[in-house]
Amino acid sequence: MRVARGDEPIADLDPAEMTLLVDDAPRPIVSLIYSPVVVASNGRADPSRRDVVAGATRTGTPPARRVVLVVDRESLNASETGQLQTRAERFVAQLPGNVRIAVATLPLGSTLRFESDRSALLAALRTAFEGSARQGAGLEGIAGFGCIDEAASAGCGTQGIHPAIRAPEARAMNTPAEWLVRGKRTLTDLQWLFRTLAGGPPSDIVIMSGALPYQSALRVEIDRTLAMARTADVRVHAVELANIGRVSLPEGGPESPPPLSLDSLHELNDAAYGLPVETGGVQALGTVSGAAFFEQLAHELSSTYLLSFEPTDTDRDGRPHRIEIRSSRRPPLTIQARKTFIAYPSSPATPRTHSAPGEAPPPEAPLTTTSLTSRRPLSRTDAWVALARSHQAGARDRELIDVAQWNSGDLRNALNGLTALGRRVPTDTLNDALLRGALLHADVALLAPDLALQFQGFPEWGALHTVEATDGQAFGVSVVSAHWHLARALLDRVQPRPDEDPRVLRWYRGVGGTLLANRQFAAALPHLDDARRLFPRDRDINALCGLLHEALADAASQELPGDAKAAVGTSHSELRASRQYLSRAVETDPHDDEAQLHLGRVCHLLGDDEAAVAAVSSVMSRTRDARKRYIGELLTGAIHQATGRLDSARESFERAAGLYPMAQAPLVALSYIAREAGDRSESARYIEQLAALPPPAALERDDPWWHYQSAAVADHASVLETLRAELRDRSTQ
Amino acid sequence: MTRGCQLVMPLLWAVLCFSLRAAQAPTFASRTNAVRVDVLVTSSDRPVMGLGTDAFEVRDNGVLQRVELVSFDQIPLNLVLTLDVSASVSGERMAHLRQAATGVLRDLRPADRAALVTFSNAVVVHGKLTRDFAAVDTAMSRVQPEGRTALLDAVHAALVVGEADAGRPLVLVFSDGVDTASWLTPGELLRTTRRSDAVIYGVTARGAATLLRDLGRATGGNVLHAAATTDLQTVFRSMLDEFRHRYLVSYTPTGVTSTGWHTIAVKVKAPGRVHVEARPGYLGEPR
Repeated sequence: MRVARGDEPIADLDPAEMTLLVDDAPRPIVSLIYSPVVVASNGRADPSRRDVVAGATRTGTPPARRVVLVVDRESLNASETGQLQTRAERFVAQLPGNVRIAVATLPLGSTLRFESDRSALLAALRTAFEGSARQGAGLEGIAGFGCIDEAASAGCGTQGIHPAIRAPEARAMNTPAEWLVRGKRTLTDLQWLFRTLAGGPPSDIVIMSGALPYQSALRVEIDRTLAMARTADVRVHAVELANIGRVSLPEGGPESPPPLSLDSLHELNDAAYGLPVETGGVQALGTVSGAAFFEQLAHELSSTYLLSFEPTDTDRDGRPHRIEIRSSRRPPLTIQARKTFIAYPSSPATPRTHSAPGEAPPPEAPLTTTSLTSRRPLSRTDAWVALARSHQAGARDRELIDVAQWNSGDLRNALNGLTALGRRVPTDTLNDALLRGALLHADVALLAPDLALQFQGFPEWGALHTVEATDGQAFGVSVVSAHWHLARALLDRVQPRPDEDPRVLRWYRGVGGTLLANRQFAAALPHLDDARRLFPRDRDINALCGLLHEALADAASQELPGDAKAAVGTSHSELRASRQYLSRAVETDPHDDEAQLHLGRVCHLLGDDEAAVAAVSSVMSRTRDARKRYIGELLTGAIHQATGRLDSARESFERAAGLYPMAQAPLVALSYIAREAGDRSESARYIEQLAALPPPAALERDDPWWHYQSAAVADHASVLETLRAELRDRSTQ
Repeated sequence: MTRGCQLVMPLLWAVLCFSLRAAQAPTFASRTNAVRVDVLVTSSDRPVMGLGTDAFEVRDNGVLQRVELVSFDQIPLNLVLTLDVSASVSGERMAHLRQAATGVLRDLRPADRAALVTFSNAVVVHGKLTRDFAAVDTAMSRVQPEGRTALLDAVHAALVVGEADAGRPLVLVFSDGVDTASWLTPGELLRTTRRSDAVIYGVTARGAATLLRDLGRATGGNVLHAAATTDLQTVFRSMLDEFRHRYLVSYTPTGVTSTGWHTIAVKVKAPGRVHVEARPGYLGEPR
């Protein structure tokens, strides 16, 4: 945190005059260390430098500090960054020798390297700037640039764009796809940087850029980046070079149309501009030389304290908690600090297997990181087994966070060692570890999607992409977590054969149901393919396959952009696949009501109403469950309607309406068939009934049709939780 | 039921019927034996005005029909705002949508009527067609975005609401998502439109373009993409303006069977090159 009064840094704070609030509740301060990274502005010696030399040990020893200078080479132009480069070089030259400095570029060029040789650092900085070449016409600072979906962001609408530049013209200067790809890569690189620095000494990251990503299509990546910045002990500072002056404007237009204001960017939830705000850093937008920015940064770094406290068990839930720091000193001081922190559950028995890239050493006394209890060297396999055993299935605990940060080399070593482990331990022990491991990696993918992408799989697996969509509308592209593949690879090693172990089947069923319930279809496809390979005749696996392909035939999947639904067939082919699997399910168990109902709908949509009737009738003849009867009546009505028996259709829909009087689907269906029959008055009467239903927020305004798909997978999904609970129980025995 | 009044005959008759109905409690039912076709005639993207009955040549299943009425910008509108208020329309999008609705309601004339249908997974019909535009505006101001998208069911309801009274039904649909909750299928909704005189104008900020385009084509309407929700107000008002520049052409079919699909071909005799937009046909209803 930075403490100052006006421009004057405060160097003599005492913990007794400080108050720390976590989520508005006071907490004890463990230590308060004055830890300035002193910068001499304008080449003059900074008077507070002596404090560092002296150690500033009022309440503790200052730990090493790190500064990473990041040059975003694809949003800057070498020919335009002269002043910025000069300021940055001066900044580096003035940093004291105890500060460790690294230069990085976006896109990331090589491993992060902290240099102690200042001349080498300055050379690296020059090289970074000289290699910059902006992609696009430099319109990032104004609206219209790279807007795939203008409506999603105020920055992408006509609001905020200078009247002299028409939005289509601005858009034409850069293609949305280029911007999206570049923005995603920038964010991914920043995430890597945060992960690399996490757990080490406190770090200040200075990003020099022409534009940070801000766009709803990148919302998921931006959220991940913000989350990682919160968990890593880093402060992000950002300076954005003005580039608007280089836009050629029509005759008569003003010379310097304003870029988006910083305030407006802060208001955007979809903006990476939140990084400095979240981490308590410095930010400047639209600067030419960066002079004011580096001056402010110097002030910032010259009055920095490290305040530490011990998170409570309640804090360790993996979620952001608010921090507020106050001082009782008068006149009041300005205190600038990070606004949130995230802590994870500790597990004293677990050996830590930190494998972060770069040179990140174990933390000395970081703000929220717990200390290690064991440093016994373990093989990767042993460490992995220990984590799998200690993991509380279904919890985002420390073991989960730890294994999520293993890289592919670590995980390959762990996998390779399993064969040897199998020779050392009884089969039951091995199988237990494999099942726990599969659950652990499933939990990583399900509960820590922000971390799960660190492991991108082995080259031989390939990468599987998924479209992230809401309300049927795609807003981003991501990669299916390789932890799913890894989990299945683990279960393939179950002895004597995975298809003979009922727990493996339950894992496949539970995970499959969960993925369908979450509508994670891209992950569900390979999962259920593997499940079918192992259990080709299993009722539940076939039912899940049928439900998946039925969902893929729906508009929400079919309307995705062409490239995005490469793995999805046409609606007809998906329905045919669905029918095939659902038929297998009901052959195995004709009393599987959900499979029969869905088979009935799929057959109806394929035009085979005879088969549809047989499937639906089999359920209607035996079930007394109101929801199933309701769905059955709707489907029966639809089948009658398709075959021209409108009177029978009306009777079925009316029975459905009788079962759920507040449901919408029967009223719409009845209105439709009345209209088909030429009775517009009757059609209108049902719409009047619809108009009389309670408002959408009312609890009674429910329609089982809205839950048609989720209800069918609920039982399957619950199997995963049962399996987790069993393992948790056995762990405590 | 005032079935006779809904025959579109001379304009005076239609306006008289309209006036009579204004004093009655409106219902959601309507029926026409005459066929009404809204026709947009443009030249160089500008509406061509001043055409008379003689300028229109209408064929029903290839049989030349006697055009009985051509009106232009005279018959009141039945505007049904059919607006997506699912979860994806939250925050400033919702504010822009409310502003757009307010704007288009302000552009209505005193004789016009309006109704509001909003939809998430739940379709909400906020009352019948009314001349109390402030009430419609107020209803819109109270809507909160949530849930999934039942676009198909909502458009069906809007068509029924829009036909509840004399006047030219215009269904203005805004959606930014893909249907995820309807009972009706796209094919069923298209059949509904083919039995309707309503013209559907679709506005999409993203998504739903395919369905809205099909609905526009089927009804002789149009679909526009709003580059941003900030543009919605402009787009809504431009659609209303375009609709007011349409000719309402009507004829009582002769020489053709009443049921089944009827292809409508409209030709316009006017100087220069003109572009004609009208619905491609209609489904005759059993009598």
